[in-house]
Amino acid sequence: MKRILFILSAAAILLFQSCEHNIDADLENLEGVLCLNAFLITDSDTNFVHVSLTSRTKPVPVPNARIELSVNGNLVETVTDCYKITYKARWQEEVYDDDWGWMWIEKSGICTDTIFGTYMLTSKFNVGDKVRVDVYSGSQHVWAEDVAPQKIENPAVSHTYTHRTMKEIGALLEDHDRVSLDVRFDDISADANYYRMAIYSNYYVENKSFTMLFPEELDLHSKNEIMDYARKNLNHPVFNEFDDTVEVFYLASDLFDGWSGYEDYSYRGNLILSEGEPQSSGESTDLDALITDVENTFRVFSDNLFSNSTARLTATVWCNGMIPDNINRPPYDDLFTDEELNMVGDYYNWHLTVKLQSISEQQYYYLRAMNAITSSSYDEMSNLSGAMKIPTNVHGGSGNFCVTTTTIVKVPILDNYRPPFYDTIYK
Amino acid sequence: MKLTKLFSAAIGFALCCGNVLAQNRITVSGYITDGKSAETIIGATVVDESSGHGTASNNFGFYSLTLPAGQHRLTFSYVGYNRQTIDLQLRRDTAINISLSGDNELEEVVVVGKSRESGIESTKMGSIDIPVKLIEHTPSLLGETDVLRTIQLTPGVQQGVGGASTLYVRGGNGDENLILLDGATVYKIDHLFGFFSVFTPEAVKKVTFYKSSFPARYNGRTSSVIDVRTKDGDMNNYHGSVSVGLLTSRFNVEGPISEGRTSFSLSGRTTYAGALIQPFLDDDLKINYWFYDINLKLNHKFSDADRVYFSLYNGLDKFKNDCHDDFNEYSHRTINDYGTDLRWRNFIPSLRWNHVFSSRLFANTTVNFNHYKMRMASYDDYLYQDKNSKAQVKESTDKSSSDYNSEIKDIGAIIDFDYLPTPAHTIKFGANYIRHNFEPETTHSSYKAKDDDKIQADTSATSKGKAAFANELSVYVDDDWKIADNLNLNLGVAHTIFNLSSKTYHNLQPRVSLKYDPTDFLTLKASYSRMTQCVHLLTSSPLAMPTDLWVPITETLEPEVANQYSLGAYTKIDGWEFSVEGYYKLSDNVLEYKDGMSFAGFSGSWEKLVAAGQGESKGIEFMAQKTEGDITGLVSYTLSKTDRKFSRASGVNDGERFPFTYDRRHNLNLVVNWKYNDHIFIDVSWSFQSGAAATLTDTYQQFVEPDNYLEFGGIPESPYNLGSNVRDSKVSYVPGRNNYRLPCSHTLCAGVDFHKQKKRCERIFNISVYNLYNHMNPTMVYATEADDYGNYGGPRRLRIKKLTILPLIPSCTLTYKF
Repeated sequence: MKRILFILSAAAILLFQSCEHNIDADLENLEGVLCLNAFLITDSDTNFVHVSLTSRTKPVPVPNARIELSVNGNLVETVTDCYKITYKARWQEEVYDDDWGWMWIEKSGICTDTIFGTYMLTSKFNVGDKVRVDVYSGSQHVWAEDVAPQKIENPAVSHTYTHRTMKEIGALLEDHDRVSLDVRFDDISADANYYRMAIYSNYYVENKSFTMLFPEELDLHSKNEIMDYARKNLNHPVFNEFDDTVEVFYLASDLFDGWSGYEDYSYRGNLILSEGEPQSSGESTDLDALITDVENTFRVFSDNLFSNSTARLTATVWCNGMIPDNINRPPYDDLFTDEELNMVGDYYNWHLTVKLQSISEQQYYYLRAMNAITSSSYDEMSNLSGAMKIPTNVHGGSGNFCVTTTTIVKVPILDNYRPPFYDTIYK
Repeated sequence: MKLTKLFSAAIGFALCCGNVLAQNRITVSGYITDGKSAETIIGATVVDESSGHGTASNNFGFYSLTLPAGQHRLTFSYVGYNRQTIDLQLRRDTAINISLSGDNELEEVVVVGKSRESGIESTKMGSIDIPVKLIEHTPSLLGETDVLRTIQLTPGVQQGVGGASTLYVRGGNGDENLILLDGATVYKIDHLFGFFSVFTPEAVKKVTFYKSSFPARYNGRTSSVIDVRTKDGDMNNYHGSVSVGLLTSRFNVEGPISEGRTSFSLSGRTTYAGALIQPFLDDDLKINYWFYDINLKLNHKFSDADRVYFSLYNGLDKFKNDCHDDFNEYSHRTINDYGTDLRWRNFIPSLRWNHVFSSRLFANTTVNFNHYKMRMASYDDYLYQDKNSKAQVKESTDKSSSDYNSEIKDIGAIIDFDYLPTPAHTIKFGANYIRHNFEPETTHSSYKAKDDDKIQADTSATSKGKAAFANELSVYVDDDWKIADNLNLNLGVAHTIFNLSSKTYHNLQPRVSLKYDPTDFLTLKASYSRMTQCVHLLTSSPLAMPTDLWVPITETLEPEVANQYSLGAYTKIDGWEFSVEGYYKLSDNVLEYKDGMSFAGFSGSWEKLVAAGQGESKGIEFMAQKTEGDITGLVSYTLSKTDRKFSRASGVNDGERFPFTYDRRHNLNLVVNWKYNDHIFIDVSWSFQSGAAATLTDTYQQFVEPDNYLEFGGIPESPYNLGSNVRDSKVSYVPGRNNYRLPCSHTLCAGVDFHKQKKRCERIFNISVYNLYNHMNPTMVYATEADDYGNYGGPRRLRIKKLTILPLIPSCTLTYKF
């Protein structure tokens, strides 16, 4: 979009010699408006409400608000304290040692911190409940309500996993592993319904701590011989000049536990997720950019294309090297990041969590607006059309308040998987 | 079925009334034509001197006047022509074709015509004839005379963003103007992002602009009607013109194919904008933009009773860019070719048959086809060659391409009758049928990847937008009734049936106009009109973009309905015409994008992106015109207010009322055309508009992503992990739409025509300057971070920037008329 807009604008501007000037604008003071943001989840005993004030610099969290949760007209919970988080932390401290002088040492422990402006609700509510949150801060009062939508029942998820050898395309590494997901579920009712599909990864490696083993029976002597062998068979061989050995890597078990997080999956070719818009499978072209100047970043969709029938969603999760390659790897050491090297271990576990959410109409429009506002083309378009007013259902202030009903399907991709070449190398 | 019967009964009643009333009355009828070219004259007046009864020629130059038997003196006149008087002894119905000869004194003076349907003489109000001379003499951008720019100078019309030719009439959206070219709707009316209209001035014969009491035969839009009629072609002589300007060149040629019976008129225009841009671009970026317009008209006169016209308009915009990147590195080489091809076109052929059934009944039958198509295509070809001899893959290719098409195909048939049973009644009735075929947003994309000879990917996807077929049938009847010498009433009603595959909408549209002349120099008028609209243009940008999409109403989105009430007073004093009109317009089912939806480039599921609400507009318009003399011109001033109101549930502005984007409180226009001598004509225009509305903010609100650590149940390692998606994410806070007033705009334009009669032709050299005193009118305004923001970690500072696309622009045009 950028290029197209640039070219179209350039055509007009070159023709008409455009000029740009600063002007005095007497804008209304919009600071200090109370905002309520929450994505409440049906049947969950931990939900969070975020309260803040508008500001010219960045939103200001409100630490002294009173939150009232009402379900079906009955006040069920009042919260006045911000959410406190307890977490395991590591840090370095500089200490003095008699032998070594000042040095940094690593420490760890349990910490507690307060997340100002975030309040935790512990009351549950069910499908069909009318949920209302009132927020009081100083003289300001905002409120919003939503009805917990119906749940998606019995979704079917199938997948195929392709582990591919990494190859280089241009200056970039092509994505390595691929999981194709096929998700089907029935529209929850004949009315207009709105959904989103989020996918999370949970990846961890067990028994990760090992040291390099160099098979002496191979009878390798010179550095070149050792490295030739190592490069063919090992991950990240580094020749150790002190003892003429090769180190693959060293990984302490407490440094890496795996990771989990949101997967920014591809929905190319799926008309439901793209709301009817096809996309090419390749690099984004100008036309893609012109038409799809707004990507469905938050993966919301309506039942417009499958009203009262079955939805079929296809998604592809691309990832770099969930299983390290030791065979046919191109001899470029610098292609691999530390993070990737750290993921090499003995047993691999990778699960995908498909989270199908039934959402309200308000949330659908809010997240579509967010799709637009977080897109790369927003700045140019806002220059042409003005700033975007974001949909809100918060009375007396701003923000977004929604209740979602979630159906979770876990998809095991790797389950205590041990790459076969390990046994060959390390036995 | 009921409606058909009702309509038949109405026609029958009208005919019977006519026959009864017509007893002992004689009808004079015929065509009024230009004496030189035999071109029919629209709006020429015919007056019986003795009784004062009169009429005007219709859109095809036909007139009909019914008078008592006996001696009469008829005067035929039209501005710019010598008056012609004939004495008649009327014993039976008589056909008289009149040829008016040009008035040399007035030939090059801009004068405003009069007709039964527009101007002070008309029963209707809010209508004006835009003579071609006025269009030609309105100073213009880059020397491009433009129908729509001339209309922008009339009261009640707001222009689009700085200098664009889009029209916003009495608070209506840009898509609420019914723009007709020889009776066929034109969907895409502009070139070059809205800065030029598609109407080639040389092809235009007459333009009539309606903004309130609409004749019943016009239906389908709620704010205005612009009826453009093209030249029929000179029946007697060959002549034409050639113009060369800075941006475009134009030509027109017309003449007889068979003298006195068949003629043609051919006009064309093309641009060289692309060639002008190219020198400013990098060598590896090639841009080609051009457009053309072709107007062809053939006209054959079978007899005094039958004429056939064939009109063709074909217009195309094409924008193409190609880029080539070649990086040859030590280890590899990459070659990337990519580009875009955008084109959009109108193709409108129409065939018309005029038939005079009797001296009192005239019929015009039209069949037309209207094809609007927009296509965008892009390609991206990438080649990677590895120079490493050990590389597993020597050569990789990736090819992707996409196509995007939207089109509308309309097939229409129109039949209009003019029935003049008595001098007191002019009855118009007829029917209009259009078969719409909307095919929005058909897209196709493909991707192929190959490593050496091994195909890695070969995929394609096609999506057809939601095609819609619609049948639109309108029937109407309209009687212009001269109740007394100083009292006229126009009663009209139209009924439109818009039939979708699963739903049919019926819209009854009554229209009433009353004209009363309390004194000889004062005219008062009042009117009520109801208009409906069943198609809309979805647009996300104030500039006219090729992605703008026409869509029909749906099962859930009902037709837009506008009710407009107007009052006016008019007077003529010493060659001046003064008018004041007030209006109040209430529109239901006005479409707006929902909050946050307007940036979606792709309009799939567009029904979910828009909401229907209410538009309210009120205003008062003043106009003074000087229509005679060496100095002519007009001054117009409009005081108006327009806003929108949607329900809270609709998702537009939280249900709060907000000003319409082009709600400009004051609008003042001045046009002066001065015939300095026989060789020099000076034209000046000045327009002032108070600021339009815009949405601006310098404040942020919190944005919480749905997949933050807390909501998805993960345990963060530290509160700082929450930061990116809970604590620090921010988006602009906008309390309401159009919360800011842009600075006012004012533009002075001037042009001078130097005429010189050469041996075989006349040369006209025009020098014009747009925005003579270089006022920086805001085309768009936006907030941006100050340049030094972030350097010192200080608070955010915003600057409001104003972009002006059209500063002072001089131009010249050379025209030869032969």
